[in-house]
Amino acid sequence: MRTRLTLTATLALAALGSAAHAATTLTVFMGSQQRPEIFQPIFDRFEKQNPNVRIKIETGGATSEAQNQYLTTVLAAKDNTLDLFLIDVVRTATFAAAGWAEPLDAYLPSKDTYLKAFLPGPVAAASVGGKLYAMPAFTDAQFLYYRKDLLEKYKAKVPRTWDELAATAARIQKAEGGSLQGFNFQGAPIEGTVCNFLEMTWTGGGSVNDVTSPAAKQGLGFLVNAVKTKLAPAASAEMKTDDSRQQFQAGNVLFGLNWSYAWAHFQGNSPQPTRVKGDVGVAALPAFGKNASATCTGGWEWGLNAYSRNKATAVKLLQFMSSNDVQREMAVKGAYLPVRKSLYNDKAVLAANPHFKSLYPIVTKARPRPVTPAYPRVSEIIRNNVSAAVAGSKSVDAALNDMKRDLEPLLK
Amino acid sequence: MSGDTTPQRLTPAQRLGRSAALTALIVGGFFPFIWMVLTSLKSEGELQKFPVQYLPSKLDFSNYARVFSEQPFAQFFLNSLTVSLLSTVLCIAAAVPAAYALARLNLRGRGLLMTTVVTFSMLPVVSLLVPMFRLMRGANLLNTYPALILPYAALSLPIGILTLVAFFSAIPRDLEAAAMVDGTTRVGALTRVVLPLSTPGVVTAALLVFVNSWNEFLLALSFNTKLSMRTVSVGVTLYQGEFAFPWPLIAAAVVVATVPLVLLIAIFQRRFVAGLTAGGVKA
Amino acid sequence: MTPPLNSSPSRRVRREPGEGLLAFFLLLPAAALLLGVLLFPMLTTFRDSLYLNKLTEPWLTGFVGLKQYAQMLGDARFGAALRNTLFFGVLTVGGSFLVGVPMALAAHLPSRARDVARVALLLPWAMPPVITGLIFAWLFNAQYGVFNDLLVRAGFIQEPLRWLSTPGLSVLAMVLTIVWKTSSFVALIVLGGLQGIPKEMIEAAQVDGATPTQTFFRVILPLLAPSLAVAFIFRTISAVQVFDIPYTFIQQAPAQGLLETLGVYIYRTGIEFLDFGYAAALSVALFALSLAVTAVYVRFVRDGGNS
Repeated sequence: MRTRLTLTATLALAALGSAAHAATTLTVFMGSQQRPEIFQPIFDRFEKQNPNVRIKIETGGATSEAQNQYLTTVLAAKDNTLDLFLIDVVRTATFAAAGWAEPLDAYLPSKDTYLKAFLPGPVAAASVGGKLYAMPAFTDAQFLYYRKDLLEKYKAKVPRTWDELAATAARIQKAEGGSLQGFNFQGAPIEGTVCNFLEMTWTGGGSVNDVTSPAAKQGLGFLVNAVKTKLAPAASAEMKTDDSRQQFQAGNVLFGLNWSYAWAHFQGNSPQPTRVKGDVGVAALPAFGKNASATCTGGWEWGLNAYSRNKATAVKLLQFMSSNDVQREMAVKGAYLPVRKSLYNDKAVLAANPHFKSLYPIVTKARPRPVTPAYPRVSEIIRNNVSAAVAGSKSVDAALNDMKRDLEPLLK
Repeated sequence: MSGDTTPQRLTPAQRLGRSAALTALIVGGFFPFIWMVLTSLKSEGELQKFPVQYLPSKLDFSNYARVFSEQPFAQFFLNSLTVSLLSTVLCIAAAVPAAYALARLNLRGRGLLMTTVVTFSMLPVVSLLVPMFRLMRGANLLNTYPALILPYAALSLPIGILTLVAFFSAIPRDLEAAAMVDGTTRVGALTRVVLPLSTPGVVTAALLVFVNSWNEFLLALSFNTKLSMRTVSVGVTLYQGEFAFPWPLIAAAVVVATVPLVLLIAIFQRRFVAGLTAGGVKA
Repeated sequence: MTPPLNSSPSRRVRREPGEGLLAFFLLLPAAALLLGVLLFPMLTTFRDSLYLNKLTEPWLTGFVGLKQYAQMLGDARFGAALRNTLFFGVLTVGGSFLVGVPMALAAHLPSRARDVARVALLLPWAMPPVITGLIFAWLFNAQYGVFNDLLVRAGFIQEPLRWLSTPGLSVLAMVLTIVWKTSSFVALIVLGGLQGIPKEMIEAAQVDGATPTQTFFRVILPLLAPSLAVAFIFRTISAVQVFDIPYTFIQQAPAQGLLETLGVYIYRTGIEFLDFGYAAALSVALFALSLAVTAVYVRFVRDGGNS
């Protein structure tokens, strides 16, 4: 009886207490794959600095599709339970068009000055028609990973052009024999494949607006040829991002394209054993001839739910999350690539991730994938055609013509 | 095989056929599952190999520990059990009288009624997702068991009803008529004659509903988002990384999600069906 | 031919007094559950199919009548998805019966392995659907898949097959996966049906000197007809809606044009392209397809034990 009384009293007090503070609870959505355990202490700190704010993390499914499905359900029902959501950078324009992501411009009076310290790629990916629809959370890009030991052994240089890459790969592959893959890229119908195709096109001076240009032909032709000449594995059309990573890590690959997460795995922070620890180099993607190198912007950003009732408080949290301190902590503890330029020269960040220094010139050149509300369609068209060409079930020309036919009405 | 009550003496060829069919069934049903069990005992380094390495180099049960330490999987399991059991009970409780009416009473437009019942399972769940979310939110049921129990029971009701109609109509009317001559009411005939005789039907229907509920993913993902309310079907997908797919861990989760379910069903089925063959038919 | 409605003798039995009321009360709980939970979402879908509602082009709103249905006629992707759905439907429904019925018979036979057989019969269906496609995609993997490994070891092939990235093979791989998963469902219903057949009827046939084959075709099969019809109806409905496994396969294999089913197209249109209006219209088309196939077979369940 007494315990029950005490309990009731405590509950009543607690209720009173929260009412007195008029606490705001922010619900933050992120996938379980986004490692909430890294964000939790950061949110705790924000709560401490803002005693009347509570932050609740809500995790959706782990896959990008499951998260998308959940967010679509909730937001299509105009729900206000979520205040902030962590979304893939390719979703900005879709969320903006649907009216789900609140533009942040009104909340950031000196937006341009504020964003000057940010990398241009993630900001471009978060912007639609000059308005900022999301706050970059952390960035990513595709890099050329290569085997330092093998290049040294055969006195080869890190390739600056795709032709050099092909020549070096063919030479070393022949000399090493066995099952060494000269070049590894993603060819399955997934997002990484879209990026690989865009990169091949960009580094030939082309653009997604003209996919039947000589640059696009040259780019896709290079990937298809790599499979035909056995520089790349026969099953490249089934290669997914993590397959690529595991192949490289097992010591089977000379040159491989992949995102930043692969680095930690190669260095031994991985469930699989690594055979390449200390032998991995990272470089910018090669280009065709005298064209400039380029890469795809990846990473995630914070969207503010347009139906949220706590927008001002939520924006405060967004600014906190993109502050120098928090960005540094995420880089140090989670090896997330910061969205602020200065941190690539930061002592603490470089102590934890020495390779960030060499990534900086690459991420500054990262370009967003087409920023359009129809991106899910655009991505699907590109990835299926590229994958079919890599599989050999469509010719390069046919794949690009089909791509052009389907993309044109979407990318007007 | 001497102890078996084989209904008819089989020729050697028929015996062989039976053994072949059984072997095919057992191998076919088990092999992906055995592959999961083997995978769950391996380390990730042993997976991407060709020729394939079938057996783990050493038995490593740590993935099973991780299934429970990385996510509250026991809670997921309990949630799934509660949701599936209650939706099965609700569904069957509604299906039995309806199926009896459809099978036995002289209703006008029986075929039309039955077709109407089936139409309720003809729209893909994905198109019902958003309006149903609104419904559940409006009823303040999100993140509660009923948010899943109600739709699961309703979505499985058509298959439950039709299965039972098929079984009820297979029972000779004479038996029922005899009982009713003895003064039993319609409802009495249902509970005392028809139901006991159609135990395999009720068991089958219950099983279908139970497993449907157990495996449902779309609604579970969106309606019950609190970790404490998650079900197993969503739970098994929570171990992936953005790019990485840790098969040994996920395989362990699949095994944990499937084995108790299957054993439970097997025991349940055996008891009921054994009970039936022991004395039911001649009642 | 099926006898015309209301002609079978059993249905001409005189109505007992109060039977209508009894029927009402017996049907009430089911009706309440169906209408309470599903009517609103279903009506919403029908209504949505008549309105434009494409969130990526939010200015497209308003009532358009049957325009989105007309849009389907000119939609090549819908045509392909419909064709694929029918193609996979025929193969996998047929396949699941060809495999599932013998499975049920095998599991029904008295034998020492019966309990194991029954578990084997349940397992495929109990495997979480979201994972099933992934497991099979892995088994079919070109580089380290088990199927290739077994085929190479057995000497059937020299080089691993590229199951997922060769269009024809990816279709075969998907059919096999779906058949594996759904045969179990058919077998469960048929097994239930087999258990419901009174032993006396089989014994009677045997006394009359029928061979096991004759017993099967003359006694067992007719008594199984209603169960088979139920299994057929729901296998058909699920084949028309098939989503999980094709959705997984499409992310592994470049043959989207061959593998995309209506269920996947609806999911993509609604959840990914955010065109809820068109997705609703596609759903209603799928509904109509299911209805057309099902209406015919409901008769078998309805008339099953009575005729």
